[in-house]
Amino acid sequence: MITLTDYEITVLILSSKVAIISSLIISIPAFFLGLALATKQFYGKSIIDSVIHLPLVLPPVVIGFLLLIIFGKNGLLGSPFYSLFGWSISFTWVAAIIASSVMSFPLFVRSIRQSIAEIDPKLIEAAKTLGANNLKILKTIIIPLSKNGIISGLVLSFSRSLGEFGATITFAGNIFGETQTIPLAIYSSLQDPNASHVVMRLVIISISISFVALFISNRFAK
Amino acid sequence: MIDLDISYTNTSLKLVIRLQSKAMILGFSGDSGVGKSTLFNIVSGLLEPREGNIVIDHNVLYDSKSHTNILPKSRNIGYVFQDLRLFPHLNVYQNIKYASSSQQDIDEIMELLELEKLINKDIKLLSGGESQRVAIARSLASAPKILLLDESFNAIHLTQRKIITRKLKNYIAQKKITTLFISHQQNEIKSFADEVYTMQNIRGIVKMTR
Repeated sequence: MITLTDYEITVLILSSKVAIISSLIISIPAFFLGLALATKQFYGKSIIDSVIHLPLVLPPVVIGFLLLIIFGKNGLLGSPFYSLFGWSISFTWVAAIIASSVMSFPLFVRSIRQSIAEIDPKLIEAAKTLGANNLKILKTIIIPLSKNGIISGLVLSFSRSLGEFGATITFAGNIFGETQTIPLAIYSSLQDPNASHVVMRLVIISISISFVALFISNRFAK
Repeated sequence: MIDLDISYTNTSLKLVIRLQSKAMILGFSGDSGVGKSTLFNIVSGLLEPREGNIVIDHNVLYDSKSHTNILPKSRNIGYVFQDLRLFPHLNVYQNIKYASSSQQDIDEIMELLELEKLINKDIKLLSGGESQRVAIARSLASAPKILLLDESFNAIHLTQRKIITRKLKNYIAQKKITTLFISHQQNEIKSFADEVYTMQNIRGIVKMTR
């Protein structure tokens, strides 16, 4: 039985907090965006699709930099926010959540979109002839039949948030107890030649969590 | 009473349907691919005709001149699709209850279609005939004013089919449900329907003859 140190517990709790909150925050917009992309044809669909997927192809540092331009103390939104509240989002745990949310959003949308696209549209037609309105169809057909995709997306998003490094260190920094998640703690410990055992323990913790998350995701993806 | 005057064209089909009838049950026969199911999709509102009107029991469901096009969910139609389209994540009872709030109606319909023993059965475990009976029950449970039956009895065992079609005919008469019925079996269509129409492709245009 491995006993975790106070340092590891602090890092683990912060990582879990960031991953859980960011996954929950994006779940509703990801669901409706996945629904729209799977079922609707609309002007600008391919542009929206491309923008959503940018975090998957861009270097995470670029995303972090863009977030800094937008939400930084002198950023487009960050500056008026700082003037109003006297508080800057960047280099706080909120910034870590924003970075994680942006990086994991495309995975969540893809998972939901795929599961909704697999629903036979004929079932929706049948529900319409039985008098069901859009809300009833959503509640009784779309959500139950895409349940696996929703859970799988949630787990994938959680895992992606746990592993997030580049955007977080750029936008939120590497502050112990505030923004230092597991990958950042591993990075910090790597700088210390005497902390190789700390690195190894954090790596084991990281692999264990990711393995369990992917196992759950795969079970629901079937 | 039914009054159809429909023109519909897609890439492979041109339908020109004119029909007026006071019969309660109208049967339709015709070759495969002639457009019978397309006609049902138009009546149910899932497809929009190019022009014309659809009036059933004095309710205007579609009229191109006045731009009336009632949505499928508001047409009060029970549609038993040829491919049934039962909800795979719901059991027999949940499928039938989908559009009904009356337990009394559900009980009556379950008895009519001899489904009492299947009430909690998984949809995926039903035989073809059982699935057809559930699909008919689900449509009836929505208390429709119009019933569309697309090859809805062909998988039901012959002995049971005779009993169920007889009971269903009585139910339709009792509830005054205007029913359109597609079948390839001439004996069945003649015994079930009050009037029989044949859809024929005449020089590229599908028309209805009696």
